[in-house]
Amino acid sequence: MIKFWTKRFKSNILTENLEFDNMVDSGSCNGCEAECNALSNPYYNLEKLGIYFVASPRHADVMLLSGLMTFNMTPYRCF
Amino acid sequence: MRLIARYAKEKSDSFEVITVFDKKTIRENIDKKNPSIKSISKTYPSAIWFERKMSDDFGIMIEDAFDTRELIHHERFPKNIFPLRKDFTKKELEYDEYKPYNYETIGGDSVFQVAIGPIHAGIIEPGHFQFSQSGERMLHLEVRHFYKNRAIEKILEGKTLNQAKPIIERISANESIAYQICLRDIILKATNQELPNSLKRYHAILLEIEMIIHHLTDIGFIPNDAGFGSALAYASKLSEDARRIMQSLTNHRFGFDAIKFETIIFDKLNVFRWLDKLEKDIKFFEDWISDIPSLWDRFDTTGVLESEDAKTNGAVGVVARASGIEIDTRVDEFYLKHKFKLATQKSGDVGARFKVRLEEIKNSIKLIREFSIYNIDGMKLSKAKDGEYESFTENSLGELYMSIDIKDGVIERFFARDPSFINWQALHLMMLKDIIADFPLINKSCDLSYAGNDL
Repeated sequence: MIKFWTKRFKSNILTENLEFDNMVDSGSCNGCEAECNALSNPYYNLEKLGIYFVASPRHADVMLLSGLMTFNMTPYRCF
Repeated sequence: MRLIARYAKEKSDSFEVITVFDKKTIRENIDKKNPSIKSISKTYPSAIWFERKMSDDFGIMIEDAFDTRELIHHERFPKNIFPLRKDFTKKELEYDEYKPYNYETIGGDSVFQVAIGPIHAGIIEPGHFQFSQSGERMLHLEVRHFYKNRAIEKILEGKTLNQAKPIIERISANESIAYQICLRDIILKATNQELPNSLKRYHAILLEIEMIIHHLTDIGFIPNDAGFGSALAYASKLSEDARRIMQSLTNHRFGFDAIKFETIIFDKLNVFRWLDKLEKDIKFFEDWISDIPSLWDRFDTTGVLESEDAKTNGAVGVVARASGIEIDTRVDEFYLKHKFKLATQKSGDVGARFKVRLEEIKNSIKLIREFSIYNIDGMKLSKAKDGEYESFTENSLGELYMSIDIKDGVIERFFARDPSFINWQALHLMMLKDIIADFPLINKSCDLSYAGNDL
């Protein structure tokens, strides 16, 4: 196990797969969300490539923010 | 009478409050210096949000209201700023001090609060749900939205109809065609022109395809929320097929900029091939899903909206039709001529809403076949005249209402009431007999829009 982690620290990879965030939506038109949902349909099957949508930015390597930052959402920003 | 919308607009020396019912429209003028109006929320509960919104936008006092909290202006919104007034021209706002929002809660021994959102753990839009819980039973739910309020009503002021079109079609992507058709009807009223029948049929085809896409997505996500993931895999494949048809017809997967007045050639063969396949697939899907007892155990008697409640709250769309109320804007001469059939259910639970959606997909397939046309004649638009116009369109969520005032060739006031705006207010009534674990299922079965609601 230690070997596994040392190797990963050396190669700078902390997580095994590229993990997306749940997507934080601010002022979008819901089109981006619909398309991100479509990414997991059998045509695109994103998880096959090792890319997952995870529930929290804490688990994620990449965060998607869709839409413009609205006045009411800005106080909730997590970055 | 059913309340459709209640909103205000600014006139030169007064505010005008317009209350739209299904049978009549009431206009009241109120003084600008000390604006106040009597609440109608005791008779029409869905007026609550309309009135709170009005008071946020224009600073109109609502007399007799039992809920005077701010709706669109959240905790840090500056005080005494009413953005929809004409004298408000600022482009930027400073954050004010935090003032807490008092949620509607139920107190008592062993009653606790569960707060969900605004940022959720899935790919969903932002919105807050505050539950009062007694164990796992839901006692009360308050829905709090308007996190993604983009002030579209204000943005559109002073724009011509052509400049406004790209914004209006992007209010809510899932309902883009419906918004465009609403705008189309307003343009036609303003220019006093008639739409060629072939073009009207083509637009109706696009609207039905949009409904099919949305319903297909839902009939996948509803079982998915009850733990039956393979339905999602199957239905999301079908909805992707439908989206690709939308793209082949309009060059856009959501049909942005699809409703135009030009002459078009309709790719009938491609669409009909897809319809034949979809018809078979839906039949298979229905046979398959109807035969899974553990799934229907979750669906039946969950999230019941009583017919009486749906009526008092003026619910629209699938939510109303699943509770046995026959409302559909499509019940008119044009649609009935093309053999439109209303899909209703009586029980008002998740299962009923699921069945209505399935039925509507099958209806839409039949309608598209009826509408089918080869040659589509375009038309030339004349100049839009000033005036106040309104229009209705049915989309997959329900009845969409839009009203636009044109003054000196530009938009003076834009107002749209998304079907979700009404149905969100009826959501808490569906929760009373269920446990909190059923909430995602109930919420998804209504599938309401946040973007259209928040504007």
